[in-house]
Amino acid sequence: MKGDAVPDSDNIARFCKPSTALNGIIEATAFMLRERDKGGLSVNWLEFLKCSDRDHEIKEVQRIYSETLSVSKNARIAILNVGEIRDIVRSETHDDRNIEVLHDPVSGGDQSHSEIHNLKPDNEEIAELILEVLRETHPAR
Amino acid sequence: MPEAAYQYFESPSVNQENRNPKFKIFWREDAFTQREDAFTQSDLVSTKDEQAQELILQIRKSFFIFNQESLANQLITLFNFAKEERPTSPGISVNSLSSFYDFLKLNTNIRTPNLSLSPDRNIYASWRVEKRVFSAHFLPEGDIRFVLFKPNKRHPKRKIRVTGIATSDTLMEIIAPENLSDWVLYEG
Repeated sequence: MKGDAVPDSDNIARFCKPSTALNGIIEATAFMLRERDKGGLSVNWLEFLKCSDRDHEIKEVQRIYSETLSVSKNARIAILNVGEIRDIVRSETHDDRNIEVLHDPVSGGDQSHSEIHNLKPDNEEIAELILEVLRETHPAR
Repeated sequence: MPEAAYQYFESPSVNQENRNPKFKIFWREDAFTQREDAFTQSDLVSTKDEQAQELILQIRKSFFIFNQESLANQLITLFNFAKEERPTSPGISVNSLSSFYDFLKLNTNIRTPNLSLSPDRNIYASWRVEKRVFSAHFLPEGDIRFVLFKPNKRHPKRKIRVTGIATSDTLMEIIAPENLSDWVLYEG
């Protein structure tokens, strides 16, 4: 439900544009907010999709992307664990930053959509910390 | 050159040493719509794109930079990616790219970083070796926000994490005590 915290045990997928993943290598820029953004970083809650395994989750995420985004062959999907992201940011930032991953389904659209909140300031440091716990990468189409 | 045309590089691949970049012309859907404004948003984007392309060509021709071809090829690819993602926005921030070029001119022995673009189209350069990371975000105002992570030799379970802000002419002086010689810089 909108506003619910995604459990620490669960996983999320982040769409990485080609300009953040040259040669298929995802960089920290994939986890940065624009300076003027006040919202959160968009991700997809994988367990919400209720797929049988990771391969099916990826296929479902790719289908969602194809309907909502312009997906080039150079785009990537980053898979991360919510608990690992929250732990590393809390333990390694000077202000013990508590980031939150909140469910944010799109009305009439992507029901697995969620957002990572409380990323700013220190855009670069937190983005690099998130990259440090990147688990898997997949083509976005 | 009609004002609605965009020109950018026809070199989607990164590893294209010894090849000269070629320009490809893309037309906007409203290319033939006559506009009476003396200077439109598309003019501004075209001007900025031309400036970015010129800077990239300058980097390619800067033989005093150790790996200028590889850097230029990465930038060309990123420029093309950015235009595909948002055709009506500038490909790369010109001021950020200029700041990056200033940094390269002052530090000619830099190893080739991994380049990417921030959400605001600024240059982000990263050097990664094993568990060591040095990343520099080239902001359009001339500042560089940097991040340095490396293992803590005295406490193996912990890492040293340094963040800060500097300019292209001071960044390496600030970082120098961290001993980047075998990882970010070429020796000799």
